[in-house]
Amino acid sequence: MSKIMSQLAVSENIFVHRHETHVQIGRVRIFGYTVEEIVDPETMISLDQLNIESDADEGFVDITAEIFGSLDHITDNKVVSSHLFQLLEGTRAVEVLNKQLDTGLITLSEKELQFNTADPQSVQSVISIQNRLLRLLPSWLNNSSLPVTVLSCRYVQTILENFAYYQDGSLSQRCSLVDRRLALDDRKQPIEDSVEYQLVHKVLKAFIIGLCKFIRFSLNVATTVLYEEEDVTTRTMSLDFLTEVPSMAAIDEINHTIEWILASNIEEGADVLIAQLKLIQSLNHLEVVVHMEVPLFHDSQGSTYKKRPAFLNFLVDGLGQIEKLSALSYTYPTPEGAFSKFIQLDRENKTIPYEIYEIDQKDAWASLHNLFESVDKFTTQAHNVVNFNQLSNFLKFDIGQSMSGSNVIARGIFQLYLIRDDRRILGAQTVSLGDFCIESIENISGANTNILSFDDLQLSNVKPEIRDALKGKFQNLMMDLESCLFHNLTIYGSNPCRQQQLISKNLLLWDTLQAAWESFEVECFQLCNIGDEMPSGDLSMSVSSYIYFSKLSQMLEYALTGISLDIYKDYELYMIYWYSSYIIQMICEHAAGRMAEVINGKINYIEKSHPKKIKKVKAGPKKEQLKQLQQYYQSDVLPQLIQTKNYNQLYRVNSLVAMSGFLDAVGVYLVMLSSFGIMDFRKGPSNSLTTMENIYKVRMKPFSSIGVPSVPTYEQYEASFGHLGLDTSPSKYLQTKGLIGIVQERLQASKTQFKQLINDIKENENINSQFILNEHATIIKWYDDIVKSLISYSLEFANLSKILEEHKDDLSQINTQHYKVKITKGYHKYFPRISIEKLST
Amino acid sequence: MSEVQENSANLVKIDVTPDKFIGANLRIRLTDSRLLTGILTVIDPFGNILLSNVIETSVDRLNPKNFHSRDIGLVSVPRETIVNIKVDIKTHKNIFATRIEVLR
Repeated sequence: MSKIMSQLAVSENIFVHRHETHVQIGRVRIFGYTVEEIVDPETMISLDQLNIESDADEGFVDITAEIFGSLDHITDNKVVSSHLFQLLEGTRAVEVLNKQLDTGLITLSEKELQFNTADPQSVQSVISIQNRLLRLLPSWLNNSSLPVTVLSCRYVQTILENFAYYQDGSLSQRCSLVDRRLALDDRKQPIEDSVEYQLVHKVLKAFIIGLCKFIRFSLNVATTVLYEEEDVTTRTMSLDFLTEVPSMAAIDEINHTIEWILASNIEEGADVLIAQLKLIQSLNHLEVVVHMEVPLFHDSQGSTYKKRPAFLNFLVDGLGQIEKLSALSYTYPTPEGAFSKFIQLDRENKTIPYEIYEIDQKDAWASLHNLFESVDKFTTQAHNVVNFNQLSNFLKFDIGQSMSGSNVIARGIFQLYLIRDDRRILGAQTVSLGDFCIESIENISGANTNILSFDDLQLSNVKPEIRDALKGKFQNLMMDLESCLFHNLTIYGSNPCRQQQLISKNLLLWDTLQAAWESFEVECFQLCNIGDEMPSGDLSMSVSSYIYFSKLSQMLEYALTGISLDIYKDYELYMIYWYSSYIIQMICEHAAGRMAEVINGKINYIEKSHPKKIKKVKAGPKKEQLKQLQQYYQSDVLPQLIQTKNYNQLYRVNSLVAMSGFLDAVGVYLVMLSSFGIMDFRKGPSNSLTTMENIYKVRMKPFSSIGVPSVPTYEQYEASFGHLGLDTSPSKYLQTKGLIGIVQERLQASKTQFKQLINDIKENENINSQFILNEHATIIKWYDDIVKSLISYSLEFANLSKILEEHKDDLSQINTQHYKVKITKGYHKYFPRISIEKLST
Repeated sequence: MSEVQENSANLVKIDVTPDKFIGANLRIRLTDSRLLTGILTVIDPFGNILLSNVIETSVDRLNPKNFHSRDIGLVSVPRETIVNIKVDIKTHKNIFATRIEVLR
């Protein structure tokens, strides 16, 4: 923090002694210094030699004495500041003449300063420069900034500065590598037709043009869908990365250059130069991904796995070039001065000096590889989506679970690829956000949702004023639902922490929507008999049921994902599993109860109610019309309803029931650890400044604004420890032993259910048609990992049982003096390994 | 110019409060001879200054015959690094006009 702002940050009223070597201000120490201490005389370039004082001072008045004299008026020791200025902003101020903070004091060697980008270079030299740039690009994307990575290259700086300076001419002319500012009068002029000269002014230039174009694209992606500094830092030192140049122009430039290399007599290294250029070309092709139209739901043959579309072959090419280049070793040094901190002291710079940041060569290749691979995976997967459940499962498993580990630009590209500017999904002409919304509802509540076809025909018997009011309400509610789903779709490309934040916001949206839709569906049913009925004849509320299911599912995901993000302290783990158990129980009840009844009601309508209605109608055109409708219901709608019903029962409900069993078992395990006092979930940390009740409330805060289901009270949480009777049982040993037996059986049942699920996903036609099962699919791994976790928990119970047996005569021996709990990464992100270890005495 | 400086010198004797300078576009010469031009945003009782929208002018390291300027944003200038502070005549008049009248 700069000197003045340290003062501001501490307090305006605290007296600060200047000129002392250091001063104590409250809890902050400010280190003072004299000018001699902070300025390195070698770095001081005097403006006196240029007579800057006399040249530039005409028309200026010296007010040094007046300003400093005026300070005598300050009697209360407070700073005087502009009312427009927030003092906190001052913490960003950079202190001049402080070597740690002032970029103007960066020292560079003469070679670094006077590096001439126009000088010819050898093939090896150009290869090493290009290789270093290929290393600096992923370094930038690895939580760094351009000034300390790619822009540390003088060639890049010169090209971009010249591009801004020369407004006319061809791309190659504008991107000149001749530094206008260098005093070159005494230097020897290079021979322009030499290969070495062309290697710089043709090959390296084309490479940098392509690189800058890709950086521009990455910056666009970052500013549109990524988070500044969290994902990518977009600081460019006010240099324009060839915005106005079309990507195709850069690609063409590279093509011409490759042709030139092939035609020239470069004996050694030509293939490497070409591979480097081709890699840059592939990076520039990535832009097509965000504009491509995915033929969603086109192929009815779901099981036929399609290969990647031909125009995405550049992804394979990019991967091939990386493989080729990463196999080489790069020992030839880059020319001295080609990479330096020069730009930090030369260009607009509002930050402090930083060292050049460069990740490991191996990591750099891995990062670029990951970029192409991730894009290849999601585009290939998306091209195979033939039904809505596949899309939904693709987003949930293939994207939701693996995208966070992807290259940051791949994440951003995916977000732009998923939702387009016109809100179409994956660019598919036939799938707007509205369509997506209806599909989303009907894939859970079943097709033929009465309230979604809210038209004049249905409202023909309603008074016009009520009709208009209902229509208006319907439109608004649909818009709200679309907004919520849109918001939901923005989660996938975000980083894991932002995902949690976005889900948290979404929970409130779902809750508001549920309340609004419930009252609307009831109103429509009561006023104009619009709405689906359950077989019992009661209103089924298809849309509200879907919303409630979605909300509960997201609540569960939110709670459990926090575990993998290390959000929870050890003493909060039981709280989360206990709450998750409660939520999953509600989802199971809802899915197996109301949701099933919603679909049964729709089937009942087609099979019974509608045929009865037809019978009642007299022969004539209306009857014929109804008969045709019945035929449509039978041939199109009924199979869809049966499919949804089967999928809900065989996959959704079964997976939830299996998961519920597992969550319960983990909860019981933690209560057992708590009862023996080797893990605490009731007191919190010993040095805590607050109560466990407050900790509970803070942890439950994201759910506390949700109306249904309400958050259990702290008393309920506390009481949950007593439900198993471990603390009160006359024979704790027998009670615990018995419980372990029950839970082991439960775990076994869950394991069987999960295995059945995996089997169904692989073999059952009703289920596997709802997933894209190819080499990129992650669904099987997801459930395999859960099964592995289940087995590991089963072993933990066995271990506990063994410990219990060891101390059956004196259970007080099972305590923190003899045992400790170790929490390590588990097989599945929801289930860390919580094991009991014996302490060596 | 000399007249203004004379007035300026006279004004030292009369009371000018520091808030009068806030918002003025200052030119500060540093001990390493760099020039900083920016808006005075904060000043503390010891003469340490916070300037915003600062343009730094120095000798061009690529060609010492030229100047080089760059934007360095919000800058904290410790008093001991300041050689002198200047304002243009118009700003000077704006700050001191009322005082000059009082003096006369």
